[in-house]
Amino acid sequence: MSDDRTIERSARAWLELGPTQAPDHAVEAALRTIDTTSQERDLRIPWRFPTVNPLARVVVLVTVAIFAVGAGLYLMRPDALKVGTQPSPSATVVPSVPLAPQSSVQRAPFADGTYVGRAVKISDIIAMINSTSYLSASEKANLLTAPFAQPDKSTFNAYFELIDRAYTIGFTIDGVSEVDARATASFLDAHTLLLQENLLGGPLQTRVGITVEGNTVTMTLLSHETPGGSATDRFVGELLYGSGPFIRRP
Amino acid sequence: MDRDLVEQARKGDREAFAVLVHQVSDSLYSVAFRILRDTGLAEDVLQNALVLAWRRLPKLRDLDRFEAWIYRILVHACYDESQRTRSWRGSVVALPIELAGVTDETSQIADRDELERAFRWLTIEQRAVFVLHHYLGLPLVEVAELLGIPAGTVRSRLHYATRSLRVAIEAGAAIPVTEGRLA
Repeated sequence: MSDDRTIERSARAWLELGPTQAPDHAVEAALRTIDTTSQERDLRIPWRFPTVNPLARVVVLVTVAIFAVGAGLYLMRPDALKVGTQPSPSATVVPSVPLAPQSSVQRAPFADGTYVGRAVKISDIIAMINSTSYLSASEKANLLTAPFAQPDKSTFNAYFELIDRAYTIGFTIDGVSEVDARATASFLDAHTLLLQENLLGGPLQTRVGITVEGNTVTMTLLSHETPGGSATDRFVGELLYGSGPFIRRP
Repeated sequence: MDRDLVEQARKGDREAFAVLVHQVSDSLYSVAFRILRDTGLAEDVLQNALVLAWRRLPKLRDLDRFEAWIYRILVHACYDESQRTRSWRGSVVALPIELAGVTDETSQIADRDELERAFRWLTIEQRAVFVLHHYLGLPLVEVAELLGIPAGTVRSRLHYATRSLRVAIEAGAAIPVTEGRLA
């Protein structure tokens, strides 16, 4: 038993030995835990209008195409290809600004820590679910089973946590916290937070606009990928990001 | 895998997810056992992976990739379990196996023992690649995609795993092995 082929053949036969059925008690235990566990919401909350006028779509595409061709022709004009020519006297002089070293990741414009949003009454959330027109009856029924829509609870607070680029968003119900989603955070600039979730099939990105005033952060969803996004996700996203401003917990 | 079931489960239908669990749990458990070489740890990992899959299901982008996605969660749960139990390690030296004059059957059992000991000598990442490729029969590119690592890394881990097994088996008795829990 020495060469690699022999080792592989023996190892394959050996791997076939051993249990091939999951013990029932293990599966049942997992299912019992799942019965009392809620799902994490997707950060991919639909931000586009669900229906787009086909004519408007064509107009946008044509406009983008015209702009792209125009830009291409401008960049390829003969002047642009000359090297070492003198600028014309009428050319606008662009002040020389020393450039900072380029980096896609900026310093966080606010300190690491946990930031908590304003308190929202559970009864108000239930009313919001029932009155939101873009939710179907089954989506409303589904949302009404969520922890933040239980009539025997009273107060909801959204929160987010940033610790060394690890970003978590979640909420507390009467002080009991529940994680909604986790992502890696980076700051494109002082006002744009990029959240990246590493999922099967590649990373998923969400951009959030931020405004910082002292220990208070206000967040606005700017863009995110939408495939598979549901109205339920949209509602949860609006609930979470809409319940700011978020104040840093001491 | 039934796409509709995955979609229903993704939307929070626990019954749909329970059906999926019954479809995949045997295979997940088999893989976990073969990576960890311990039935107790494999049960723990299976439970953790199923609960985590339920929690994260709304984030599954491609419903047709459910099976690959849940294997990925399982393998990462194996990594976590390995990390958690690393401090439990205790090494003993295996006694030499006397092969001279033994029958074929005895020799096969001896080979299995050697493989068991040698396999425990591999890193958890090498074991995962080895099991996914040789037990599940996944091509290397699929292993790479499933684990979210470059194909070259998979090839390299498999190469080192095979070489380590060969070296360990040839070294025979001198291999440190673990007692009880995961190496």
